[in-house]
Formats: sequence, C-alpha cells, structure tokens
Amino acid sequence: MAALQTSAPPVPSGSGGRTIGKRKRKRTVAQRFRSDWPLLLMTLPAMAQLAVFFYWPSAWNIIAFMDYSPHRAFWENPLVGFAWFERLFNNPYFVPALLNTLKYSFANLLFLFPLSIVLALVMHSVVSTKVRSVFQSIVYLPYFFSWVLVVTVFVQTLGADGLVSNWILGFGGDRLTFTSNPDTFMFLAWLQWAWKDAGWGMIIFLAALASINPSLYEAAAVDGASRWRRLWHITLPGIRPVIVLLLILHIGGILTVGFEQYQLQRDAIGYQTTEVLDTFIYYRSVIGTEGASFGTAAGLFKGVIGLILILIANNVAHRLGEQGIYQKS
Amino acid sequence: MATPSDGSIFRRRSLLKAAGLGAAGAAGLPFIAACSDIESGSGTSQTTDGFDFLPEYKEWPLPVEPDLVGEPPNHPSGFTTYPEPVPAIENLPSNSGTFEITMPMWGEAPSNDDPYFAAIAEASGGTRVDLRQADGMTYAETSVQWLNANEFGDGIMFFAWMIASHPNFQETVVNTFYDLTDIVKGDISERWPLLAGLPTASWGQSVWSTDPNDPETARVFAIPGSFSGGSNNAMFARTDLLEEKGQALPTSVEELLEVARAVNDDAGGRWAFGGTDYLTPAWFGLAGGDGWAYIDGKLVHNCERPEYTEWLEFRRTIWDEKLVHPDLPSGTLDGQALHKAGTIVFQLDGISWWQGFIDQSTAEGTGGTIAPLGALAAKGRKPLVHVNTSVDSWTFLNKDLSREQVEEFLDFCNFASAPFGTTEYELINYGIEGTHFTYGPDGVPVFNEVGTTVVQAPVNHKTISGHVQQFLTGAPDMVQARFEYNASLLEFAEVNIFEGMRVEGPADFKSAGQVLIDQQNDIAYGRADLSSIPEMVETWKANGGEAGREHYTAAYDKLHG
Amino acid sequence: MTAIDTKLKLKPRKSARPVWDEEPSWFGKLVKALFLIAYGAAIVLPIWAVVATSFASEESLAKAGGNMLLIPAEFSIAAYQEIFDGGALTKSLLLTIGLTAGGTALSMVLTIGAAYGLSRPGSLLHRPILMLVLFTFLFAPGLYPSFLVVQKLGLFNNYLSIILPMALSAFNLIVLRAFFMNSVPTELIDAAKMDGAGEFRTLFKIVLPMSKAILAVVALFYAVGYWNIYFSAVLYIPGLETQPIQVVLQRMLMSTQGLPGAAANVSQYQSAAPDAALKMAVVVCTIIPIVIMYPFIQKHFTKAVITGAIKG
Repeated sequence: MAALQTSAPPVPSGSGGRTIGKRKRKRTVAQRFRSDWPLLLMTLPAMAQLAVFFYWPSAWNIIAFMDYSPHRAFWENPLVGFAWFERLFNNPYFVPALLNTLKYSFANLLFLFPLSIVLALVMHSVVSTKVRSVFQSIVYLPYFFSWVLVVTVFVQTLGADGLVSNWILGFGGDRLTFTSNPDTFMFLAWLQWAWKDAGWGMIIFLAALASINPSLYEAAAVDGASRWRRLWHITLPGIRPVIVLLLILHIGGILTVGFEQYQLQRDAIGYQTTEVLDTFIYYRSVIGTEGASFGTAAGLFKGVIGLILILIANNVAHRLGEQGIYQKS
Repeated sequence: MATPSDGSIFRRRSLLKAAGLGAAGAAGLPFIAACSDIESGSGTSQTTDGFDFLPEYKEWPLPVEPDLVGEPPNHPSGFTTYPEPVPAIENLPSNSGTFEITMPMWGEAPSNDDPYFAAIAEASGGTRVDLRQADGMTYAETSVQWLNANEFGDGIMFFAWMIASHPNFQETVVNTFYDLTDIVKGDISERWPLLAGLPTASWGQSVWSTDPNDPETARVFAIPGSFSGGSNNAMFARTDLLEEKGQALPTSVEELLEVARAVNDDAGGRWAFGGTDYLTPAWFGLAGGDGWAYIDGKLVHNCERPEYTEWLEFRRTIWDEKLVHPDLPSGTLDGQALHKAGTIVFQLDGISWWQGFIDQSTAEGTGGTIAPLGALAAKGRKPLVHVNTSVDSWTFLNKDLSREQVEEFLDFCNFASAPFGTTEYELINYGIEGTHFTYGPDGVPVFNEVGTTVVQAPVNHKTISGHVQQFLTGAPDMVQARFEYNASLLEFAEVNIFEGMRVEGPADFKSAGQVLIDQQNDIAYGRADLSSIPEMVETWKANGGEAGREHYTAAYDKLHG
Repeated sequence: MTAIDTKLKLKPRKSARPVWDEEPSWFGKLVKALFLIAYGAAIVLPIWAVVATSFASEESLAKAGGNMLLIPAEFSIAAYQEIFDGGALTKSLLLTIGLTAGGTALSMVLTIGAAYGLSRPGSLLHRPILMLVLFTFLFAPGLYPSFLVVQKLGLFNNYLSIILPMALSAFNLIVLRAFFMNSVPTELIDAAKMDGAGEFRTLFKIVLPMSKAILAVVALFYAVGYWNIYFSAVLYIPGLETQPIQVVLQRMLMSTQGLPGAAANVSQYQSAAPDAALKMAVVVCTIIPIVIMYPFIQKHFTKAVITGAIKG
C-alpha cells in the first residue's frame, strides 16, 4: 500500500547506518558489483520475467502507428503516423464511450469508497468478536464471483421475473424493471458494486483501522473526547494515507472500468448507456472489424491518459501534505 | 511531510523521465518516417462459381435410396427406416500419418483417448486425426490470434458465420492456408470418389483470390463442409398450451399476435415470447444475408425500407403489451428451460430443438408438445423464407504441410464424406456397436451413456468434410414431420441476391451494422421510439451505410453483369 | 503488556469493550444492527440461493424453468457426484489446484528475490531496476503482442503460458519490498553481516522468518489470481483437454447467455445446457477454497498488510 512509497524507513534523523553508508559510497562500479552481486542475482529472475512478458510485448505498441498486418514482415508495414488515432477520435461512438467511462469511474469512486469505509467503521465499532468474524467471513465472498454469475444472480433476484418481483406481485404491486432500464442503470451498478466489491474494500480498510494504536483512543477518551470526536480526530486521520493511496491508484486506472459488467449488460440496458472504452475497443477491434492497430491505438491512448492523471493526482496529494505513490523531489 | 531521506530514489523527475522515454520510444520512430494512408479493412468480394480448376463433379451413387425423396439441398430427402449399412470405400488406403485439427466445441469435449477415435483412424486407412477442441463460445474471436500466429495445428475448421469476426479474412486465408488447387483440380474420382461427388457449388465456395482485385488469382483453399439449404431456424409453439386456451397454430403475423395475447399471463408468470430478433425479419419480407435487396434498379438495405419499421413495430408491440418475458433483455435466460417449463410459449430456436424438446421433456417428466410455425407474413403478403444454400463450414490446412500430407488428409476427408447408409457414416456418427450404441428394436442405433458423451458431440470428425448428400434421419415420426415441414416452406423459398459470390463488406459498413443492431434492440425493448428510425438510418448511411452500398453494388454488378 | 496482564484482562469477559469506551445509546445500537443485518442478508440470500440450487433435484429445477431456488423441493447431491466422479470436472479441479500451487510457488520465488534485491537503496543499479518495475503500473501491453510473445516462446498450448505471464505482480513486489525495508530491523541485518553471513543467508535466516505474515498475504494474493485464471486460458491453451475450473464454469454459465448474432447459427451445434444444479455446484466448488482460506486471511491480513505496507 503506502507500499509504493519508497523512502527508507523513517529512522529518526538520518544518523543511522545508511547515511554513513552513503558517505562511504564513493566506490567504483566494480567494487559495488563485488559487494552487491547477490542482490542483483536475486532480482534477475523477476527482471527476466518483466523483460519477456511486459517490455517485449509493450514494444509492439508501435503498431498503433502502422497499417499493420500480421502477414507482412514487420518492417514492410507502412507507417501511418497518427492516422489510427485520428480514426479513433473521429469515430462517432468514441466520445460517448469515453464520457460513460469517466461517469462510471467517478461514480464508483464516490460511492464505493465511502461505503467501504463506513462498513469498516461500523464493523470496527462492533465489539462482539463473534458477530465480527461471522459477518466478515461472508461479505467479502461475492468479490470472487465472476461477473456472469453476478449478473445472473441479480436478474434472478431483482429482475422482472425475479424473487423480489414475484414477492411484490403477491402483494398486488408491479414487477421491478430496473435490471433493464437504462435510466436507472447507475443505481443498478451501485447495487452491484455494493454487493460484489464493498465487502472486500471493507476488509482492506479494517486492516488499516486495526493499525491505529489503541492507546491514542484511550488517551483521547480519558481527555473527555466523545465517540464522534475520536472518529474525526483519530480514526479518519489514521486511515487517511491508505485512502489517499488507493484513490491515486484508482485515478490512474480511471479509463479502465470493469469490462465484463458493462459487456454482459449491454443487451439488457442498451449500448448507449453501457458503452465504455473497453467495450468500445472490444466491439470495434477485438471482435470487430477495425483490426489490431486500431485497438492498440485506443489502448495507448488509455495508457497515456492514465499516466497523466496519476501524475496530477499525486501532485495534488503532495500539496495536501500526503505521501502519494512516489516521493516529492 | 517526510523530508526525503537519501533512500527516496523515486523522485518525480525520474518518473517523468521514465514515462517520457517510453512515450518517445513509442512515438518517435513514426514521426521521422513518411506516413501513408490506412488501406486495410476496405472489404472484398469473391465470385464462387464459373471456375475451371475445381474438382470435376462425378456423381457418387448412393448405396441406399432414401424413403422420402425431396429436392435437396433446400428440401432434403429423408430416411424413415434404418438401412443395413454398406461400405462406401472399396480400396482402403494404407496411411500412418497423424494430424491435429482445431475445431470449436460447445459443451464438454470428450477425450481423444476414447476407442471411438482409434476405430475411426483404423477404418479410414490408418490416418489419425486428433481434435484440438476449443471453446465454441469464444472460438470466432480468439481464433483471430491463433491464425495470426500460425498456431492452429495442421488445420482448422470454421463455420461459415464465424469468418465475419475476422478482419481481412481473405488476407489471412491466402497467407496462412494450403493452396489445394493443384491437388484437387480436374478428375479426382479415382482417388477421392466421395470428394468428387460433393456439389460443385460447395467447392466453388471454397475459393479465395490471392489478389482480391484480380479474378485470375482465385484458388481453392479449403475442404468444404456439408452443402445444406432450407431454413435452419423456426419459431416453436407449445401446442398443448395453445389447446388449453382453445387456440390453433397461427398462420399469419396478425393471428400470431391474437394467439399470443390469449395465452399470455404476465401476472401468472407465463409469456408468449422469448427472443424474436432473428427469423422474424422474414415475416415482414426483409432480406437475409447482409440485408441488401435489389429494388427498382438499386440496392436497398433493410433499414431503408418501410417493412423495417413494421418489423420493429411488431417487436415493440409485443414488448409494450408485456407479451415478452420481461427479463429477456438481460440475456441470462435459458430459453429452452423456460420453454419446457411453459414459462415461454413461443421459442425461437434451431430446428433441432424439435427433437431436443421431445427428448428432454420426456426424460425430465415435464411433458408438453411443440410444433414449428409455418411461413408467416403480415398484411396478407406472400410469406418469405430465407434459404441459405451454402457450405456450412470449411476445413483449412496449414500451408506448412507437405503435398503428401495434404493428399493423405484428403484420403481421410474422402472417408468422412461418406453419407448416411454407409458403414463409415455409422462409425463416425454412432461409434462402435456395443461400446457406444446398441441397435434398438426397429434397427435404429441408440446411444448408450458413453456414446452420448463421446460420439454425440455435434462437432467432430463428422464436420471435417461435407457429406455427399445430407439427409433427414433419426426417429421416423420426426423425419416425416420435418420432411413435410420443409416441403411446406419450399414454395416461399427465396435465395440471397448474392448467391454465387462471397462479399466481405468494408470495416465501416460492418461497424455501422453493429450499431444498427444495438439501436434495433433499443427500440424493441422500449428504450427508444419508433420515431427515431429515420435518424438511425441517416447515421447508418453516413457512417458506413453508403460506403457499404457502393461496395455491394460493385459486387452485384460484377455478379449479375 | 505482559502475558499476565492480557490474561487478567480477558478473564472477566462479559464485554470486550475497553473500559474507557462509553456504552453507545440503544438507538445507535439499533441503527447499527439493522444496517448490518440488511447488508448481511442482501449478501447472504443470493449465495444461499446458489447453494440451495446446487442441491436441487433435476425435476424440481425443470419445474422452475431453470431458475434458482431458495428451497429445493427435493434434495439431491447428483450435481456433486457428477463433479467428483473422476471425469472432466474432477480433472479440471485438480488442474486448477496444481496451477495455483505451482504458480504461487514460482511467483513467491520471483517476488521475494526481487523484493529483497531492491530493498537496499544505493546498491548497484537499484534505481533503474526499480523504475522498470514501477513503469509496469502505467501500461498494458495489449492482446496481440502478448499472444505473439507466448507463441514465439513456444508456450502455446502449454500450461506454462498461463502461469509465466502473470508470475510477477509489481504491486506485490512493492508491498513486500516496503516490508523488508521498513519492518525488518536494520540492526539485525547489520549484525548478521558482521557475523559474515552473505545476502542469501541473511535472507533465509533473518528476513524471511520475520516476514511470515506478509509472505502469507502476498502468496494469497497470487493464489487468488491463479485460481481465477480465465481469459489467458481461453487464448493460450485452447487445445488442451483439461481446462482451469473458471473456464469450465464460464462455459456452463454462458451456454444459456444470449449470443449476439451467432445465436441462430450456434444452437444447432450446441449440446443441451447443463442444468442449473450442476452450474451452481461448480460455483460452490470455486468458492469453497476461498471460504476455507478466510480464517487464515483474517489472522494475517491485518497484521501483515498494516505493519508492512500501510504504516510505511
């Protein structure tokens, strides 16, 4: 988690062993190699994995700038500059897909985070260990369900012919229609996130909550701070670094929303509401007719936007006095 | 906070530098080089008849004549009795090669170790064909990558509808697959009499041109699957439920609506319809295939015709009147299970559901009877049935095979093409007597449990190459019923205007078509109004529709002179 | 706190509430209870329906038209018998267990090595290597290139092709590295060095034994990833007879899903959809390992994640 913060441990004021190490470190590369080779050796397998399965394929992103065909030798593919990007931006369905993506991404951010935090706070305040362990061991399970199953479960329970509908019908009401209503899709998406992901989010925040030193609470309580004041002054600041960190990571992936959730409900809700960037790429390029270059261009676009957003978010975090994912220079 | 100690190596500048380097690496090169335009994805067209390099057709005499003689392929003949099978191949080749063929599989794939496969290898003359059975649900899409990377074993099988998922399939074919022309050209009846007995049209449909603009470069690239015709889909009605309400099978769209209203019970959890997205356009006279009709000297697309509005109006009406299962749009419904349970009265399905319903409802004790609706039409027009007389599938061979290997594989195909009534057919379709099936009281083979899981798989050696002729077979009552049903459709049969040609539309046209389908669903499920159709069509025209018309018109002119 | 203190405190356990904490109002308690019950029920009921359906008999499902049931009219374990009869499903389960175990072991070797190798800022090439790791957060290489690499390595239709590409998660690597840097006392490492221990010895004798909890959590993250392998299997190992359990499950669930466009063509080649009980029984089987792991997560998750990463 803050994981990504890469600073050395906050050893009190720099007189520890490592700073000394630095002063001594006017050594030649050969000398350093002689002492550090075991470390390099240990990193080697992981680096090999990255080189082969990340960097090698990543270099292929260059086909976003070519009229690429797998049947020609690589260098025989004509370069087309930004023509694929032009085609991407000119596609009438691209901008709506981009806007939908941003919409669901922010909705997820604004909804799921607070819900997970509230759940964690409530759970944290439950004293009975029995209740806690039973509850915790259930609510995170849906996180491991595939989206096909989640969508099926939702239709069977909340669909127009689902359990709840038939129950309402028994009381003389009307069938529910919101599993196929585009106007209320946001609500449906919320419910699905709440069902599938909130429990898992709760567990992460619970872990953060448990790390707060209990003596802080005790001291505050002795000083007469009420329950709410303790929440405000101890609990929330205590988990703030985790919240900020997760937020930044989320913002970096803001153009990547869960693909399956939207693809599977495309027919039910309609494409206008459920088309996001990933489904756009899927239907145009992966199974569509636009070919590999088009999809690669779209993927590259996503990557670059994600990079820019993560830098901005991190900058804001620094201004707010947080660590963020990398150290301010 | 946190004054960076010296360990904080990951400063912002460094990250930016790293990111910048990556971006420059990706973008730098193309900047320098001169740029050209995108050429891929502009569509192709390929005539599929009038070639002089196809195998010469030599009729292969059937060992047993069918009991019911129809007019194949649109009205196939049928067997109501099970004939004593006779061997089709006299001079068995002696081969020893092994091939691995990729093919789609829906459901659970049986193990290649079963004696069924060994028996086939032996009976074919020693050629072992192992099946690489990949998931049918994702086959069309994932196979794009396999082909690009030349990872499909010695050959791969595609159903005809799958190639629509492949961008630039023509380019893939001519670069990836074995050119069979020199081997199959002319008289092949000596070595492969059954392959020579396949309809010439099915060989013609296995032709692609290395240069799509030059008809002289046309070559045979595939072994054709069965040549079939007629309509493979039908709207099935639960006749027992209709009778309960005193209704008869409807014979027009208007009657269908009446019957649907009578049997529907929204509050009670019974709906007239499940899916109505395919087959129904024909009820309104709309064209099949890619949707083009030739009207008054020009090509008109379905969406530009007034009947299109009628069709969507119908779909919208049944939705608004709650005659459709309300969870249908979710795509999670098991239509067949709901049909068996009587929750859905009219089920749109493949023709094999007729028999499937009987088998399953008998086994599960749910009961009920079904029958397919005949050809329907609205407003007293003459009904229309799209018939698709074409090859169901192709088997393509890897271009890295040697000529001897290809010839051996053709030996195997010759074996697999043996029609109903031969021992070869019995082995491939029913397995080994005693191991996979036993003869029932009327002499018809009945699968045992092993046979059901291993041999009954709908796609395996039986689809590697086409049968000399396709027959209706199985339970005598069903054969009779289907024979009569096909006969009743025959007078309404209409062939595609592009018969004799395979047209791959431009990328924009295909993608505009995809959007059109999405918008049709919006209207059918009440998310958009019928009044939005003109706007829809304008968008369609602007984003690929007109480009498509140009492409298809050129193809049409080439085909019809 | 000493052991005796803890014992004394635990003994009169009427309530675990610490003495300094005031008792909340009855209204607060009620709201909290209602909230938890509602949320819990919403989660549990559908899961219950999955389990109940998996135990329903074929007849009772046929009557329900393939819908899920809350109370099966007839109880049957036929679905589970089919899963464990030694056929394709059994093989698939065993394969998935094997992939998960093997993949997790490999991942741990890679991750521990790299995390320890990168835990000494200032060592040779430390910064560039770390940068290479962090860059992976920003990009995804794309479908076709990844496929091409697998193919060029000759791994197509080889189970390795679904393990190797996902063998290293930069996120897990960074979490573990942070723990090594922040929570293993430098003094211990320095002392080991004084005694003449090499890096490998230090890692195995000092660092790893102190990091059991975080190692468990990282292993768990990897294991869940391998357990849920789906798409790479569809793409990379289409020709292998035994497929990971998620692929089998997805096939079963999707066989009733609408197929845009292809529906009309596929139905004639499709065998009958498996009944709902079998589908749900497979779902239950994919979930059980995760349920079993929970106590373990609960024990280590808090301790490890916090001390290692969050606290920093």
